Amino acid sequence: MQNMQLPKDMNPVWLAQSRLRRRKFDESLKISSALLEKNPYDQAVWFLKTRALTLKNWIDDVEIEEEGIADILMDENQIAQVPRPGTSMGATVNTSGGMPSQAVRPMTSSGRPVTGFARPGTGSARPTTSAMGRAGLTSSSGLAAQQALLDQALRSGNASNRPGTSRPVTSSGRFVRLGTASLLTQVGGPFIDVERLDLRKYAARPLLARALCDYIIYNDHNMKKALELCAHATQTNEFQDWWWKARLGKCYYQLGLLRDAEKQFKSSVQAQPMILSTLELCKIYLRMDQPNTAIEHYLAALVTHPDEVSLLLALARVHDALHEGEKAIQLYKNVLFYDSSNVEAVACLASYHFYSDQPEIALRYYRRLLQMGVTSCELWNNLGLCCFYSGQYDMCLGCFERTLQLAADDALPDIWFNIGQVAIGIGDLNLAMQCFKIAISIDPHHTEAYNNLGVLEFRRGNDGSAMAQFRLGQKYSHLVFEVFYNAALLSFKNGDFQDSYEMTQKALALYPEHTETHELLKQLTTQFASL
Amino acid sequence: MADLLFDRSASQSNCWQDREIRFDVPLDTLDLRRGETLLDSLEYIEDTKGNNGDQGDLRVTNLRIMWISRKNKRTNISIGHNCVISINVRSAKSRLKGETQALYILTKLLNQRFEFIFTAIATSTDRLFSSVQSVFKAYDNSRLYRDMKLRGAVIADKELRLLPLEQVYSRVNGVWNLSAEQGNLGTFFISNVRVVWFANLAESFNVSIPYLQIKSVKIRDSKFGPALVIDTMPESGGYVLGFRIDPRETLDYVFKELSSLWQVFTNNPIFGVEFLIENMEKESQLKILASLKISDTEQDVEIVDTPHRGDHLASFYAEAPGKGMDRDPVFCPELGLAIEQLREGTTIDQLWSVL
Repeated sequence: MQNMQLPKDMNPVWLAQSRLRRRKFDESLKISSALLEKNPYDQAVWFLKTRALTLKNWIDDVEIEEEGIADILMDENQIAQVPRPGTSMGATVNTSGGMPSQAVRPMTSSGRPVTGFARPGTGSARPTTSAMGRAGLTSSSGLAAQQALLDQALRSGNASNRPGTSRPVTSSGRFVRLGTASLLTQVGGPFIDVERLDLRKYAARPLLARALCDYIIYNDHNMKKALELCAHATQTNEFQDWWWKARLGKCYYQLGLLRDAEKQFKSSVQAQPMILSTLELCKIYLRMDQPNTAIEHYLAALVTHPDEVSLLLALARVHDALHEGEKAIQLYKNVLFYDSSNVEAVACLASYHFYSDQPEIALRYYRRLLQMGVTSCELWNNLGLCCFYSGQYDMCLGCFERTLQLAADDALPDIWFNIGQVAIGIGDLNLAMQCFKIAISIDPHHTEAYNNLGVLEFRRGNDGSAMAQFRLGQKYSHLVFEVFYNAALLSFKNGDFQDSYEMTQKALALYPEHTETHELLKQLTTQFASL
Repeated sequence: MADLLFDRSASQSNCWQDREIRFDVPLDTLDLRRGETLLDSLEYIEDTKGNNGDQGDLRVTNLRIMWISRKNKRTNISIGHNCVISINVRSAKSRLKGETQALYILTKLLNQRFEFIFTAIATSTDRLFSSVQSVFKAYDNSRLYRDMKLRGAVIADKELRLLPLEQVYSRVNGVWNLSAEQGNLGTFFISNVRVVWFANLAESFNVSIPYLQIKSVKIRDSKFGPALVIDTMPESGGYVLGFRIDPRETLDYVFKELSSLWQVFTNNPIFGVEFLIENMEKESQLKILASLKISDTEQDVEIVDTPHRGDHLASFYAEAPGKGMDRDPVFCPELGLAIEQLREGTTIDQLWSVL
């Protein structure tokens, strides 16, 4: 460390403290590291450095629900294998709850409509055999079925833009990755060698212990050591301190010991009803697939913390996951009543209104986001779509131009797909063709674009190439029913009834209430009967 | 006699280039004024906010940023650095477009906010818009060269704190400031950029007047006897500052020195914007660019009418079009804060709620 040029007569410890308070972590670290070189036993500076490192690597893990493939398929935390409808988050498709149907609103995976707001771990459906839900796991040939499921999960969960979660899936990926990245920031190895510390000694000093505990959790991600420290500290506090209990719970949760974590959080909430502890407790219940218990806890917490926005939001998310759209929307509106600038609530309401045939209202919500200073390509894209569908043509293309300007590779295919939709709307089919082709050129797995291209090809009379597009689309996603239905229709037209029947079955599995598919099936069965 | 000689009209030395935003100006106003130097020139830049999809060049001088359309040079923008509130560079990377950078300039002029977005069409170099940002930073950090400052921290231990490009020519003791009733005894520093007066009893009571802001220097009779009177430009407050210096010979000498320095400065102003171009090759190129006068490169028919700011203006509003001016601030009892006066028929609640 080079010596920092400090202003004259300024106490360096005070300066490091001030920098930490203003969240200038790197500068604070510089000063405290230099001071620690001079005097390694200065506890105040050690504390400052620990806090700075912790806060630098801190992530709000209440918001993170990374479920790797292993977590989803290998562990069996939920009790009921075949729960009653409405009591489980398992993807059982029911389009009740007053939400727009699949024919209107696109799906991320079977039975989960596209959300308006992506969080880390936005649980789309669990990768299982399509719409049979978790029941698939207990089918007759246990191991073979598991193997098949794993294969399917790995195939659909590749890091194209159709992953199972909103990030690439590994075993609780984010925690592992951040741990390695944080080590790079320090020259000459880690700051604290946790393995060599006598944790008992630290647990006796309340202030240092807390700082150290957070450091181990957020900076080293060494949950076992953190657990040890928490255990000693709760003992010294005679099991009275809610903060240590909550930290214990956090460690247990990240180690996957859900029942122990639940116990700790429960007693922590009893000792001191805090919002964060409640949120973490309910995260465990959701992980155990007990949404109704989570809802009860949220409601109980809302009595002690009336009008707390984060609780209302969490409640809304659970209802969303249970396909109770109406309730979720009501809750989002409640959130906006207390906090009119909540991005998640505004975005969810906006997408809901857009898909329930009220683009003007959606436009109002998105414009609110724009006023709040959100400028992302996704927002401009949504604004463009809302403008187009509510007939404000003067603004529409300007929005899309903005979008294209801001977009990077991950969002571009969807944007070109949307421009293609607009082109179809104005009847410029050549432009639409070009747009879908661009979308595919950027993302070769863009099933919706393949589907629309197929339809356009069919209009031109190129049945063969249309069929090829549908087949490609099916290959890359098992979740878009349109591709299967269109292929079935085309096969039927060409007289390939066997193929058509298979496609119809697949389409029905994805979207059971689709009337046209049923019509087609009826026609097919009469054909087969007459043979 | 002498004061008549040196009492120039304001228009000659008036410098608007860094203080205004102008659209579609006649080409001769795009030429560099005295003291203005071209620091960087970027080609193939699109003016995105204007929505015309035109390609053009972006030129960065020490006073302003100019965008000139390639198709028709009469389509142009001149943005003074003094109007700029913030400059951001956003980049988007994609296989389709390569890495493109966009420059977002948020400006304010006479209570109206304008936003400019310039996009690089050609695939970018890494130093594309960085020069714009660093020139603006240099401009922002050298305001003492150009702005009048009252009671600033310009004096330390009875000595003037010099600016980087400044030389003090003389120091005059026993200068009375005639702004207060009883007058204040103080000291003059006369340099190549400005004239500074500070009170001997309180260093914090001082004034720094750059030559750029001086409208006229005269000797006039006042109730305290003959005094040196400095008028400043209306944009810096239009002050009239009087100083009495005894004896008369000293007064004449100071007046002469001040006038001649001011004249020299006007012929070749020092704006204080220091900016180093990164590679020398570029520098020679820029010299060629600087020698080209923009108005010479195109034999343009001079249209004799007032340079109006056409309908172009509206497309650059930062907020939604139609909101030009801010309304007056009033006290809002609901929030307990000063807010901009609400439009007829709206309430705070209505504006806040989205439902």
